Amino acid sequence: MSMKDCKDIRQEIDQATSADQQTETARAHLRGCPDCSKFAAENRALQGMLAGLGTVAAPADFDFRLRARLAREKSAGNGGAFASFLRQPRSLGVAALVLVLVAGGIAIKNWLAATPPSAVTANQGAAPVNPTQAVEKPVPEPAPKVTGDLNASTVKGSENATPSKTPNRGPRSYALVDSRPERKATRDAALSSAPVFTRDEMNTGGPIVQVPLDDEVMRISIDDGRGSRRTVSLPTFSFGSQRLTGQTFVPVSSKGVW
Amino acid sequence: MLSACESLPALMDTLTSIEELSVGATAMAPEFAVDSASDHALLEAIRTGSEDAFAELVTRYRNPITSYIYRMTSDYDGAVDLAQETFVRVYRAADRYQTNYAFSTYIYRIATNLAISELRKRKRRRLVSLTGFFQSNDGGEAREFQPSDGQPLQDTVMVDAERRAAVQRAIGTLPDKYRAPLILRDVEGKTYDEISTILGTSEGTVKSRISRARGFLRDKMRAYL
Repeated sequence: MSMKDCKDIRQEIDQATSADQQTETARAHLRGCPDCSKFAAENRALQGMLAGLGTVAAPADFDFRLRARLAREKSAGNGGAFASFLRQPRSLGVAALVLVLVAGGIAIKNWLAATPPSAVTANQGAAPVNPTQAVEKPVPEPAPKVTGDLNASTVKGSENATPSKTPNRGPRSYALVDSRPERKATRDAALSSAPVFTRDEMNTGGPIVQVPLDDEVMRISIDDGRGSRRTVSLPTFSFGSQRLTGQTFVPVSSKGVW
Repeated sequence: MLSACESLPALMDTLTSIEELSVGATAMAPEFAVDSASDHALLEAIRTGSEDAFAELVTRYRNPITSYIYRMTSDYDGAVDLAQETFVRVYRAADRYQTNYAFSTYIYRIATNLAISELRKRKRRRLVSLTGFFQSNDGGEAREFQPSDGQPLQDTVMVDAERRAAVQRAIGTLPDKYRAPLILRDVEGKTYDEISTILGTSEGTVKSRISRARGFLRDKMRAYL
């Protein structure tokens, strides 16, 4: 028995539906070839197992689900593109709504960011800074009215100021304005008017200004008595390791503090 | 027309769906015995809008098609979905069906294409079998889902059930081009001529692939042979 014979016999065995379809030649070969006989036996067992797998049944609601699917397809084909759009899953509608809300939120945020924050002041006499022209108009003022604590250099600066070129202006007053067009106008946002101290009071060593030791910025307005007012914002400060006592305010001299 | 196990609310919903289907029918099919009609006669009736004919066709082929696709994909729920898709395509293409071939060949061809497409999608997605999560602690082989085949499970046939599960797992390891002809031949009992028509290949190619597939299975199932 040659290898070619075994190959041909195995091919014949493989293609035969049953042992009845095997030729006499194949049967004779199998009687004399243990390998081919084993092959034939394994083949029969395998085909028997495959045939014994049986049929897997469809679920009981197969017909119902199929009809529902066909009905959906049929109804989806009616009404045109717009109707089919309306029949889209809810998730698409929810997604569209979310997109609209997000876009609206971004638009509102951008609009709010573009609007400059405006500060309302309780001081009726406070004049807003004019951002149009950078003009320092020193007006000679023998005794400018000072509110709050006053830096001596500021007073000196007012004394050394150049007189205004504008005639009939009267005593000098200072109104420093911001010339940079990109800066926005600011206003004093104090809730209450600042205490007013005159120069005479300052020269006599007083008054004592109570400086709150908290995290709020202190603002001092300097009024020249002619309606011009200058506001100076003082940053918060601390005395290092100094600890606050029971008092909220610490008296600070009006001279040479800063 | 409807199975007796459907509840009344579901029946009402079904009737609404059927009414919608019947609205578009151009003509009512004449009454004829669908139970004894041939597949081609049923298809002719479906073309004229006969819902009874389509229902009869579904009744005849829902189990074989579902079972065939399950053997191909080893996924029961997916097999049911693809089986329904098969019947949807048959319904859609009823007007274009030609009677040159047997209807069983036609519907099995549709089912084979859907199953092979699903297998190719899985390869692209590289899905991990959920049954892999239920491996035993000793690292044994994962058990594939084995749906009920309608036979009562007795203690004496537990070994057979295990063997069937092993065979299904082994089939799942076959390459796609060997899997379909093997199942059609040894599980579904189709002839070589029918298989060559279903797969669109020559009979010689079908025989060759079946032989190779059996060789693979013999090696994997040697412990059970």
